[in-house]
Amino acid sequence: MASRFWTAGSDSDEEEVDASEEENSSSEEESSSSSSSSSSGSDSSSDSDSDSDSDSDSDSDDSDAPKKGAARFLAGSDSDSDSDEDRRVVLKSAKDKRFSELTDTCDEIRNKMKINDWSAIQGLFDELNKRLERARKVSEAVGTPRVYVRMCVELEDFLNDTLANKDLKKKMSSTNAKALNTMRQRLKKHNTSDEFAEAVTKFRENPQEDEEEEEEEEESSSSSSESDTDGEREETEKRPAGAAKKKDKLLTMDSAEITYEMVAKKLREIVTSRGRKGTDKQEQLREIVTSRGRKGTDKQEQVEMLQFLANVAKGVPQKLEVLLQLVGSLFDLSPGISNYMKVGLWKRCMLVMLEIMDTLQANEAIVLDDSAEPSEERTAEPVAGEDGKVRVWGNLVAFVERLDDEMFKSLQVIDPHTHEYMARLRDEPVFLALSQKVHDYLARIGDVRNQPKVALRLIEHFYYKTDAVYDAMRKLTMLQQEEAAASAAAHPEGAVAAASAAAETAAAANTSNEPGEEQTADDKVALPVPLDFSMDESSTAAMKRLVGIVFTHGDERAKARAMLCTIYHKALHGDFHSARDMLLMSHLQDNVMLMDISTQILYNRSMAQLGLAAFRLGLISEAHSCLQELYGSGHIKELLAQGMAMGKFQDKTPEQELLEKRRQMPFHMHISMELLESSCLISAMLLEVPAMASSPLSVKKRVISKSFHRILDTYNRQTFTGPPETVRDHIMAATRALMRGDWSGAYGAVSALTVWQLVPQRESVLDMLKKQLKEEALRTYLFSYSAQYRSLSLDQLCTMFEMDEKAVYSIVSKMMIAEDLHGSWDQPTRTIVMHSIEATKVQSLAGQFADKATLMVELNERAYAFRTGGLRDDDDMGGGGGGRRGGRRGQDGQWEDDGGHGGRGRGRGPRLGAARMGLGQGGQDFGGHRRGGGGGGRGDRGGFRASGFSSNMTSGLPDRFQRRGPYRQQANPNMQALGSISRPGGGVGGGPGGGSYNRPLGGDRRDRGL
Amino acid sequence: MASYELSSTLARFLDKHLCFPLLEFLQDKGVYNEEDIMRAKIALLQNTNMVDFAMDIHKELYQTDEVPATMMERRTEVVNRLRSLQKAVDPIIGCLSNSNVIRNFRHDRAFNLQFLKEEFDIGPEQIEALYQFSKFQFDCGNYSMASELLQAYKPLCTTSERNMSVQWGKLAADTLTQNYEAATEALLRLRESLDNQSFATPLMQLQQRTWLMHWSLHVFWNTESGKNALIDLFLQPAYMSAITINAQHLLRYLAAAVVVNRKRRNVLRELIKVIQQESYEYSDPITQFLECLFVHYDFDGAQQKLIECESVIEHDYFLTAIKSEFLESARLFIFETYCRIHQCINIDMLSERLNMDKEAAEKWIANLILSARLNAKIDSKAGTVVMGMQSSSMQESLAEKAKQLSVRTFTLANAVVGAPATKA
Repeated sequence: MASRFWTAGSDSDEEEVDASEEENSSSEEESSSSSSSSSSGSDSSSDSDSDSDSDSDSDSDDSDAPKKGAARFLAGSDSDSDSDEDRRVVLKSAKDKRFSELTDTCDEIRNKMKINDWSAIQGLFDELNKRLERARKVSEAVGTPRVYVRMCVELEDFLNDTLANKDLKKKMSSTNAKALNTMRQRLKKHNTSDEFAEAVTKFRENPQEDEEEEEEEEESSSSSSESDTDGEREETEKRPAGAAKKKDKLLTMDSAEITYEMVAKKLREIVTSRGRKGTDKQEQLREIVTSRGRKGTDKQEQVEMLQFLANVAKGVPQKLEVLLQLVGSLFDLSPGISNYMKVGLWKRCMLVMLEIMDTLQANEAIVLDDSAEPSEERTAEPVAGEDGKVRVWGNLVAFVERLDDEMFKSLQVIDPHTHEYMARLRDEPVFLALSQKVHDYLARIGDVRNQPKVALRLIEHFYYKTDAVYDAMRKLTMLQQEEAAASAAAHPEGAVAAASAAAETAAAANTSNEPGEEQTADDKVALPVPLDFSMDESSTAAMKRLVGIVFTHGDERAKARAMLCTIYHKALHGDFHSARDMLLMSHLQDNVMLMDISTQILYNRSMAQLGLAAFRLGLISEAHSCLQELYGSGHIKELLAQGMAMGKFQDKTPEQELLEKRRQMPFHMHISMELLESSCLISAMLLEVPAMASSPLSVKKRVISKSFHRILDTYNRQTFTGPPETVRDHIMAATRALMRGDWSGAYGAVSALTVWQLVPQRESVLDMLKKQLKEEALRTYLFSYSAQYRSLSLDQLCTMFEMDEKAVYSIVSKMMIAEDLHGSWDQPTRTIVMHSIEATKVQSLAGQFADKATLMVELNERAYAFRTGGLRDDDDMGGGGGGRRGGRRGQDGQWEDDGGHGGRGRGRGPRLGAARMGLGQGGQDFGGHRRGGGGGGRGDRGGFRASGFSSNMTSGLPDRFQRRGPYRQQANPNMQALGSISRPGGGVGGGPGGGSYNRPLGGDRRDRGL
Repeated sequence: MASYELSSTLARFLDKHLCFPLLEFLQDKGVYNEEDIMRAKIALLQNTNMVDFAMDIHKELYQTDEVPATMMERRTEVVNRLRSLQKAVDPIIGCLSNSNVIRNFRHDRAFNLQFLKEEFDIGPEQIEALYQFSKFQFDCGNYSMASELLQAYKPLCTTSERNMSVQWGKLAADTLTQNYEAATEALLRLRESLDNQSFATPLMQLQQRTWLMHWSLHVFWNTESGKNALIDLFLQPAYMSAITINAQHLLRYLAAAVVVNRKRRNVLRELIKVIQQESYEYSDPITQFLECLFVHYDFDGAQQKLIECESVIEHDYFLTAIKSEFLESARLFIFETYCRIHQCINIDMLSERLNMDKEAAEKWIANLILSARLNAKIDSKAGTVVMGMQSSSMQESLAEKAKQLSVRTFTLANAVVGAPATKA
């Protein structure tokens, strides 16, 4: 009992000394020390009670207060023998326990350090100090425990780091920042105090020694353990001094453990445990994709570690494992999905990936497999499977895809007009080489599930390249290979060693504190293109090969994308017809709306390219139909993901904007907007101008291109038109020239466009344009002015339009056959003789008027018939005539001319006829008069409702329609008498349209009338 | 000329036996080296049972009496198989030759099988043997026999796949026996079942349609109404898409059929559209002729193409028979189109175009005018043909419209107000 009290006393004493030493003004400290001193007795008793208890002391501290009395009583009531036994147990276990408590707290502090939780650190630090006292008391040791000292040093370092990091500081919450400041003060005092200063400096001077003695150090720290060979250790020491200084905690720890482990365990076990530890850390990373790794894990540190491990790994499979982990953690270094990966980092990834591929190539027995059991559970070096293959967990495809995405993202962000962009593009060959390697590797191991994915990535790097670009790329690749070969020759270790050395320097640079320096060092990383990589002779061949793979093994989306890429590629190379056939046969246009947005963008791009291809070939109407939809939408930039439109009326949320930004195409993949616009407008012009000239009085008859009309209207309304500047100006100038039949003026305006420089086959395209313009000018001229001629000489036309006789003849003949031109050839005199049936303005207007009037009569008739059941029924069938009329209207061309009405009439005709037929039968079967009307009413109702025909006709003549007797007579002469009598009462069907349907059946009314 | 020769293309879609007439024809025409054709024939016969025939050709080709051992082996093999099949098939043939049995057959196949089983103890093995035997006979070149056997087998086959192959076999056998009436019927049935078959993948259907069209060439070009049927079949949307995807060369036959068949001018427009659309895939003088005439209105070009057509048609197995008919129709085509856009034509020029001397041309035109197919007059003084114009002036048509309007309005008004005469 006494001894117990003594210990307790010393505890509180010590603590008080400690507290006074620290001269801590923090109230928490005071309260905690006072509470502990006041409850010192209970403290110790609780200790003795719960010797097997591993609860943290703070808990028992807190819960002590209420227990106080009871505890004291309990302690007091203990028998001496009991307490003796107790004490023995306590004394024996207490030392260990105190130490583990200390380490636990240290670990906790480290955890908190990772998440930068300073207020928690502060609390924990207090606790640590308390525990230190207890530990001292128990162990009766004079010095300070190494764990504690190390913690102090770490804390100090971390504190300095944090203080140096301004950004982080800014982000901290106010409580956190306050705690940080407190900690700074306290640590400063604490570490410089006499007792600790010495220990700290000693520790700093020689940390290894300290740790060597640390027998309690758990295995976990052996994660960073070391290999035994001197050579490898040398490699460690090769690291630049700067890096070593900062990181020496790790590395020195490593070397410390080399010796330790060397003594303690067999090499293999070390390796496996190390490997396991390495993956253990990573295992979590893999699982939590978004927030890889434990929160606050020092990613940089991990990368360092893995880099180091890669060099010392035992056996190829393990090396692979480590390398794969390394790639993963390199990816972790880049933040978020919205930012792109630093170029240097990317390059390092590439290097590691290439190394992996080299290793895989060199060791055919190793199979990377993402379905293989993760190496975590393995304790021994993986043994070869039954097929002599070693399976290693890893997903190369995911890495390749990630690398591709990162490259894409960086290209999105980098300003395309800078040198940086060009430099970035130069990395593409290496990526292609890597993808090709992965692809070949997958082909070798027969992984048909993943192979198409890589193939598709490659396709997406090829499809937009013209031959010139592709060749340039090939040359660049070869050049880079030559350079790599040269540098390999310079370094005797070979290219791979050079690469790894480069990686080393990059790593070193990466770890240095100054970001600027990091940047420059990163960019210097040389990425040698593997020497065994060769690009196909032509992009077409490459596409064909890859697309074949996707089509055989790929999933639906991959197939669709590959198909679209092929279409794009074919169109780009001028193979319009087969591209079009592919598009049509794949029926992609039917279900493209159901696909993901990026595929839709690809579809739009393909369509645009298809349109351009058609335009280059002179297939104007095809080009127009391809481009019209894109251009006419007014959102062409968004549709092609080539920039964001600043919509006046649409407000996008920041999220939408971000999403859209992420979709953007990098600049080098863009399709020239100007070219698209010119092609689309020129196509529209070539189609629209003759069409407008052929029917000048009804412009609205058929609008081929709405957007063209809109632009034209705007230009026509302008009071003054300056010389053309924009694409639109040029084309409008050309349009006006073309409308006069002045082809050379039109050609002048069109050929002045600068975009033609972008077209590889500039000459041929301009020739085509000239030819098209001449033809359309001729047509327009004939349309507009043929009425002014009695006859036109073929030769004159030839000279006017600078066309050969055959072409003029062909065009004119075509117009004659289509009855666009009312004339015919007079062969002996080689002239076109006009027939004067060309309508004058008045005549054609009169004609239109007559057509409209006819339509009106027709509608009246139908409206009437719809009440009664047939107007011109000369045959027995009651509604036969109506049916015929409906039918005829459907076929009759003149109705189609009248825009909407005609169209509706067409749809309506047959339906109406059918209704009539029903009526007719009814009329015949039932003696004609009673059910006839009712049947008609019903039948017609169906017809009208379906066609959406409004009732304006009936409302025009409401009360006329109420009388239907005479009409009936005409329909069926033998009902004459009855009909004249049976005029129904007024107002029955008075309401227009719908009202009339509600009226009773004809029979009833007739009865009433009678 | 060989560039427009389609035999090799067609052969890809034809049965071995159906290729044979083509080869014979080519041998006659001497387009290719005769020895090559003989070798092709042997290769063709290699996989059939017509070993003796193959031997004969071999002897002729190499001018020897020696026959390679492989052929002899093949011969014994064939004979042996013939014996075993004959044995297996004897009972069922005996039974089926009894007309009473056939009469008892019904449409229900299961019933038929049951019936045979019960009455004659004929099981599926024999029935299967019957099919094999008929195939064997077909391979031996014994087509009429094969056709009969298939006819007998047809009510007994159970699976739809087998049914299809029976129909194909029937068509081929009937075609090769030159029993075109039966072949036409077989063709119709086959087409029906092709269109109705639901289990086939689109690709299979496409393939089968293409085959059908090729096989049908044999039938259509040898029957009177065949050209009409050909136009009908080929212009079906499904078959048209098969042509555009798979067999653009068939456009030649469609074009020829349309040119020859005056009654079917209405499909011309559709045909021209397809020809234009596929011109980058396939074009030969016949399609080019139509293109020149109806797309470019290039009469000189058309004339030129017509001359080329002549030799193409001459060397085409199917078209050779209609050569003169085609040329005549084509000439009329040119002339008609020419007249449509001219009001005055020099007869000299015309005779040149028509490849006739002036007198004959005048007579030809006069005949046309007489038969009311051409609204024109010959001005013999100026040596021209002047077309009659049936142009109606705008005024006339306006007046016409107005008249119609007033009539209709009157009727309507009468109906609405009630005609004075009928007022009670």
